[in-house]
Amino acid sequence: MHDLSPNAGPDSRLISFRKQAALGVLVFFFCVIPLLAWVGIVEPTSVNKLGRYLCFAIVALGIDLLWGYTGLLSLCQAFFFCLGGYAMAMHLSLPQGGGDVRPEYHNIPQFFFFNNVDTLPGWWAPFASLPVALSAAILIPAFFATVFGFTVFRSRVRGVYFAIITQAVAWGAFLLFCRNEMLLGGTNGLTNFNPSLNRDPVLIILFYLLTVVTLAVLFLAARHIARSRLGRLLVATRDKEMLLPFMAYRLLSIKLFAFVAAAVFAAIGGILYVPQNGIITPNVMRVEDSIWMIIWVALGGRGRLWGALAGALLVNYAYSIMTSDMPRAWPFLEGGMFLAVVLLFPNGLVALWDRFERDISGGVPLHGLLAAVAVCLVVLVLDKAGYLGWVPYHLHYWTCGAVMVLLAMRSPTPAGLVSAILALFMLSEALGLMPKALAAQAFGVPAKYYVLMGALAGVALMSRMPFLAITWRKYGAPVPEH
Amino acid sequence: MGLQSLNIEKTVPADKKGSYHVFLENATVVFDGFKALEVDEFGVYYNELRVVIGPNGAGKTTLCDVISGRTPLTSGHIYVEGHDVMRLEEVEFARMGVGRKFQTPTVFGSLTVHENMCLALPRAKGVFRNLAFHESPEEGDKIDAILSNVGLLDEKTTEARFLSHGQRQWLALSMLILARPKLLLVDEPAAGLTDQETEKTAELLLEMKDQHTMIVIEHDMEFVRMLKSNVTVMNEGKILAQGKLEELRQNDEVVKAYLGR
Amino acid sequence: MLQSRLLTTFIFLCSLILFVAGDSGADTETVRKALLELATADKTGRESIFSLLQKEGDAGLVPILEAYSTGLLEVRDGKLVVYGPRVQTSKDSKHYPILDAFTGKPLLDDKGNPVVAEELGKSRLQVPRAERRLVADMIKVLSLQHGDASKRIAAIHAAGDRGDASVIGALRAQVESNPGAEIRSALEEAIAQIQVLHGNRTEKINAAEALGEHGSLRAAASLRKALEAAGDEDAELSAALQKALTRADRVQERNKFLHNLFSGLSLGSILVLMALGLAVIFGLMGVINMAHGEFMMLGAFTTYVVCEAFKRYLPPGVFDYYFLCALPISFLFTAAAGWVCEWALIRHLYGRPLETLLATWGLSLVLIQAVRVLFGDTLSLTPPEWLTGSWEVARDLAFPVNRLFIVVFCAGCTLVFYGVVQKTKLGLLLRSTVQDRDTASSLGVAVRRVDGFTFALGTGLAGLAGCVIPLYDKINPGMGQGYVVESFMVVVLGGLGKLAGVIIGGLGLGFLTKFIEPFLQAVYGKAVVLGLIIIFLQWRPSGLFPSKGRLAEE
Repeated sequence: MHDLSPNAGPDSRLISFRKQAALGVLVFFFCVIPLLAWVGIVEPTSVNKLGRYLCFAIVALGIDLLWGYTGLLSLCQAFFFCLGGYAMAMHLSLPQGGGDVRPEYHNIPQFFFFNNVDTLPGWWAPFASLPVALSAAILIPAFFATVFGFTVFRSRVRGVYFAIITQAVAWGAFLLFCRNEMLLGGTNGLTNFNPSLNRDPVLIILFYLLTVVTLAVLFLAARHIARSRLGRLLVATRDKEMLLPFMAYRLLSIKLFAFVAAAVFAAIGGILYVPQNGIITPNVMRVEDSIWMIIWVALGGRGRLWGALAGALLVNYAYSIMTSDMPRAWPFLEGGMFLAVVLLFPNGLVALWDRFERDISGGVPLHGLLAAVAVCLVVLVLDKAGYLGWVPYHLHYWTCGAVMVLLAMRSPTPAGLVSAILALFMLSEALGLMPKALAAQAFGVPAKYYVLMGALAGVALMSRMPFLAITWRKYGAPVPEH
Repeated sequence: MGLQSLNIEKTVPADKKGSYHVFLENATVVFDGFKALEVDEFGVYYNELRVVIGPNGAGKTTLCDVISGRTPLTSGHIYVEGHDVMRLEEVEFARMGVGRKFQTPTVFGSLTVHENMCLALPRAKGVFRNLAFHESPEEGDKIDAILSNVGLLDEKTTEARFLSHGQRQWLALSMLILARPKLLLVDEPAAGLTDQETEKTAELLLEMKDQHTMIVIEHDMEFVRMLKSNVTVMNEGKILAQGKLEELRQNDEVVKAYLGR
Repeated sequence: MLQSRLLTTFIFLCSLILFVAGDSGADTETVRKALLELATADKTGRESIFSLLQKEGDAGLVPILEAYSTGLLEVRDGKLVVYGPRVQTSKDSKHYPILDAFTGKPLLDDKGNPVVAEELGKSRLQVPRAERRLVADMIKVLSLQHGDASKRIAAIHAAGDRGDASVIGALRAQVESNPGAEIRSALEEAIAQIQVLHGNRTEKINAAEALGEHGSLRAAASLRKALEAAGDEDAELSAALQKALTRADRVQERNKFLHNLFSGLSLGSILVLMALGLAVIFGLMGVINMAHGEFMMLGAFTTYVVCEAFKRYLPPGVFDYYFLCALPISFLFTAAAGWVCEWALIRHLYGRPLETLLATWGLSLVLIQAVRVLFGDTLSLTPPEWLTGSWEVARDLAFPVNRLFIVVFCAGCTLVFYGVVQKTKLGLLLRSTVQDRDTASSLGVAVRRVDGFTFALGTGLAGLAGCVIPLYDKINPGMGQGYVVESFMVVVLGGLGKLAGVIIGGLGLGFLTKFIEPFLQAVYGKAVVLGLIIIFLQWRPSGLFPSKGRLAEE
């Protein structure tokens, strides 16, 4: 747990590598993506999608604090996300927030008309002001989390009981929000915002940047929490909460802090999500959605903040490509993902990264790989600018990919190879470079997934040992004694 | 059943509650109809070292649980420093200066030894204070001193779950020593330790003897002998006898219940 | 040829529907003759025929008279026939089947083919305008004398509900003829219903009192109507009516209460069956089985498969017993599925309860989608005959037989389960493992096998719960998810691993839901129940029956 133990002191080489990697990620999200979008290489819709996924990443940060660090599995985070989202959506659907209101619907949000309401209800009025709406979007979930958390933690509801109760809350809230009498749009939710919010490229990039900045700030805040003594208290709560009261720490306050913090993170995610998504409905706060959010963190790796971020982005990305490729098989894949995470990668992707880090700290030339990435980017820009139209069959991309794999092969570490294959797959998918032949389907699953699975299995075989099992054993989930 | 006091104080002060650090009066604990504890009077003076012995199921751990606020009394009263603390929770007991070491070594497995010690520091117990907590140099020195005393200094950055059983016992004890509570409840500190480790543990406890009130629960008679203190014998939830170990050896009832076997 | 056979079948089916009750005593020679004469008789002749029919006839005449009054009756070749409803016989032709009026069977020509008509014949019998009322009254009165008791009662009730003063004489005459108690009570009620509207003042007051005593829904409706009609003019009458109405309403209240109690019981008993499985799995292995609802769904779909198999491969006579066959099959199937899951999945996750939650959630997604791919979405099954209908405990208080069956069945299962856990060696092994895994293991209990067995038992119970659900509801692959949240609440309410807690918690939740629902809508009701549970946990943090002592702390 490197985040937790600065004293553990990984060697300086590793630290500098991590700094480079972090810098790379920052540059990618802050500069590369907006620039590419500006030039027109990346579609605005993709940026919009990425922006929404980054909102999910904010939620995942909170879940990581709550579940990964404190060990409290809450199944109502989607509800907090929606509370924030709805407050924002209320502002956006009013004329002051640029909402699409019309005289034939009495100049108030259109859904009211279908609920036979002619004038704006009093409790809607304050949301006309943005500061009020924003503070409500944060304070309402925070307040609810405080009250609910206080009652639940005070009565010492713990572990799975907590999960079950929060699940019931999510379920109850979903049922309530579906009612038209709540005057929040019923099952149709709130929409009819200013349409340019998620159509105008400039606004899209602005919202995207706003999300990146917020995410960065919140990441730093979460990291500060995690690295402080409070962070250790959270971990201590996960490990052995019964001991803390005897050390004069008030368990209730610690848990309440984590719960409220996670709720606020989720709400902030919701606030930023709504304008980029253009609609919010109760369908986002079902129990399923909360569990879906948990899987982001589980797959990314709990107890490590960047793991949660990576998990949220990757899982949603996988969702987006796979549901369009094979809608009928998707529930199987989703279920399989849950099973695989729990059974094979209890520590998620961070374990893979740890392995990678360990491998390269033994001295693997990374510069070649970085150079290959740079060359790939140049080729990409050239191609999009139209200078490489003469190359048949996208050979230039395939060459780039082959170079990358070869460089990764120079240090045939399983983790490195797996990362390279995954990166290659995702890049070619994102850029539409997947060969047509691989789109042929067998059993409702396109051939490219078989190829991917085959490649991964090949790596596992190549390493001549069940490398998944090694990661598992070495980094086995911290099973608390008893 | 009266308190069979053999050789403790001859004169009992009028206000018992005030003169004892902790005092139980007509205290009973009942689980599902089973009387786990039934004590008429039990008191420990300030800065006294008291050892509680008794066969399995004698109610020793329940006594500990009551004094640390973990188990509420079914009836009766408990006074800590003269205050009636019947309805308080564990954390309030802890804030009154009651510290506890459990029977099994309880430490935080995914935290390093140093982090475990850091959490035991007796200040900044509120949530937000911990957000801006910085360990002072003196505190760091103190932690190092205690750790080197028990031989854990080399393991400072090891996560506690990788420690051996004995090391964990000592870590738990070190945390208690660092926290400096006014009243220490130590439940079987020598359980599962080798002879040398047991001796070392006794040394550690004796070092703290005169500045702290201590209640030590133990099975190991050798260890009890090393502590050279007053002993309370419990059996079936009741207090059977109190006194020095040598004197208790002469007591037929005690011998029958425990020592003679 | 094929076409004509098709036609025959059609006509046969139609006639069955039309004349399902039409073959009773209407076929006596006098009546037959009288009806045939109807075609030629003049006004006085008809009157004498009518009075004869009224005297000699019974409810079997009703369809013939109805055909007469709607102008579908005809004399053809000296036979009385009716036109059946028009049917499509081929792509572009429609025919009226010609049916024998007395037997209701299609009329056959010399070659044995059914006779049909393209148009309605010109020689149909028409009821003269002046006599229409007479015929209509006759139909009403005759239907009161239906041979089948339940149909007769229905007709009597209908007459009472109409408040039809014209049949009061007939009703009185029937009371005189000393019918069975059930029919008598229906008759008296109907008379009172009519009198309270149309009688003189004394009759009205007496009738009101009688209706108040009856206290049925229809009595209350008549009273309400009478009260409206009475206005403010006659205070005494109004007071009497009001008093009777209050009395009837009180009976209704009681009925409603009992009904809620019963619905709560039946909902609760399904919840108990579900939650028992959950609780024993959780108590033993610390596994939160989010796929428990899906095992229930598997049980329901197994029942569906058994039902279809009976329909397809076995003679129709034994179809009614498919349900008895489905019960053990779905138990065994879901138990086997549970055992496989435990072996393949759950056993790798002991001691990590929160992760079992995720894994079993994944499992539930896979199961739902698999069933959806195999069977499609919503399905409904034909319940067996002996589980339809209802058991009338009191007037206006009928408990559906299927729900009754569910209650009895769940109670039986719970008892058997309890017996297994408390009395058998197997149960002893199970309980010892729940209390202390390590000790049990060191004493030679095959803990692993006990786990597998327990998981299978728990999922089997869920399968049984799923088996009874198609009795009253449609089934679909996602059906388990609604039940599982509530079952978890039952486990939380009951306290960990305590069977008694689960039973009381389940029934309590069932009652609570059903008693809150009438006041608030179902949705708000659920939210309120949830709030109440959270408040309850403030008061009793570890459920109704917490475990105490040293073990509780671990």
